[in-house]
Amino acid sequence: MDYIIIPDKVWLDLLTEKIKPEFQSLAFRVLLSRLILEIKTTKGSDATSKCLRELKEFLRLNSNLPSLQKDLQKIVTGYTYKSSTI
Amino acid sequence: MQNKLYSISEVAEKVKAGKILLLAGDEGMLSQIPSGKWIGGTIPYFMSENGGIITKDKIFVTELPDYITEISIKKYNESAVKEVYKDGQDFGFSIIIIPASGKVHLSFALNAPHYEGFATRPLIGWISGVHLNDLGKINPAVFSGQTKEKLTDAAVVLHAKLPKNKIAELSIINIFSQSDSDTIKFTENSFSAKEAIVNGKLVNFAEYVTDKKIDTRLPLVANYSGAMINISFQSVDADKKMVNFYAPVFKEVEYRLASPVSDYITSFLSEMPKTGKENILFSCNCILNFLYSELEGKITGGITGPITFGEIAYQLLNQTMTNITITDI
Repeated sequence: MDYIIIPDKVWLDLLTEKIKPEFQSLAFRVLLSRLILEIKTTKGSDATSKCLRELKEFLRLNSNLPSLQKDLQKIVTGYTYKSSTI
Repeated sequence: MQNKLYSISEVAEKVKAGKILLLAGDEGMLSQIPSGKWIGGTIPYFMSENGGIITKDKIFVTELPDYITEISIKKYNESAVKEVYKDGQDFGFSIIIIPASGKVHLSFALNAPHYEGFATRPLIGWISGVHLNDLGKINPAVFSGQTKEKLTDAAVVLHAKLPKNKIAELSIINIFSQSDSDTIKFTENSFSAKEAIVNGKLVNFAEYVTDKKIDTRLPLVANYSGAMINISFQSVDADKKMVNFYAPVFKEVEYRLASPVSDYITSFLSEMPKTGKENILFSCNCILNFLYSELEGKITGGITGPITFGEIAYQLLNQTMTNITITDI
């Protein structure tokens, strides 16, 4: 599963807690928590852009992690998103 | 090979043979190991293949597989430790050992989630310590095997590169979950707290813990997007009306008290992965789990490793078993 196919809107919905799937990857969970908190506690759109960049860098380096692969699959196929969105 | 306890001469042989080692043991023992590709930290508590054990006469050895050929060993003081993620290898992993209670320990604990590159590369490790009878008399230490330096206020890190067909992944086993009790938030990032916001109301936290007769062997638990992260109680100072912790609490994070666990071993075994244990490269578990659950002589599902004064999986953890596995891609 290539994280590149997932549009930014999905990542932003994750970072702003509009969607809250249950993930397996420890790295993903601890980073996501930090980024969600940073966006909540920092004013302005710069924080959101910065956190999105950080998230993508994390995904670039870690998308082969077995647990993260399952998490990406969950994002693509499940939760509130229909297949036409992606 | 199984990670286990060895004598000084056995460890020295491995070093001379060019093996890359992670060592844990008494300071006197580690000081006798010849220079080579190893890092180490002081601790006399271990989970061995025969169960929990306290010893100053053996060294616990984790031997990195022979397919790992590219490593670097670095030391980090308080100001440099923020570079630890940036220095890691892409598609590798890093092992960090930090002496307990020093400036690097405190700085890492408070600031790691905000380091550049946080969680982008696997960083596992532990906080070195001493026998509890030696607290205040002997300083915890770490060792860089390359230079044979003993360090009491710097971290030592082994950065390793993996071949393209291998990947490292961190996982934790935390038997503690959030109870349905009060929500607790704190007013600052700190290893201690006077005030807390309990169910939205500002209280003195020491008085709250005392009045509610809270079992401080159970940690506070925060939910990090589904990952349960503990903060262990160190002490409640009734005179100063202050509560001290073994890891910092963070403001804006919501904590709850942990649900009680009646049988650690049973709970632990139920949380363990059913497959893949043979791929665990390194594991460590918390001294508080060792003491409170009376793990001396008991076996934790065949997973062995040092019993530490804190565990690191991207950030500082408490009362948690922490593992790194290497699998084929």
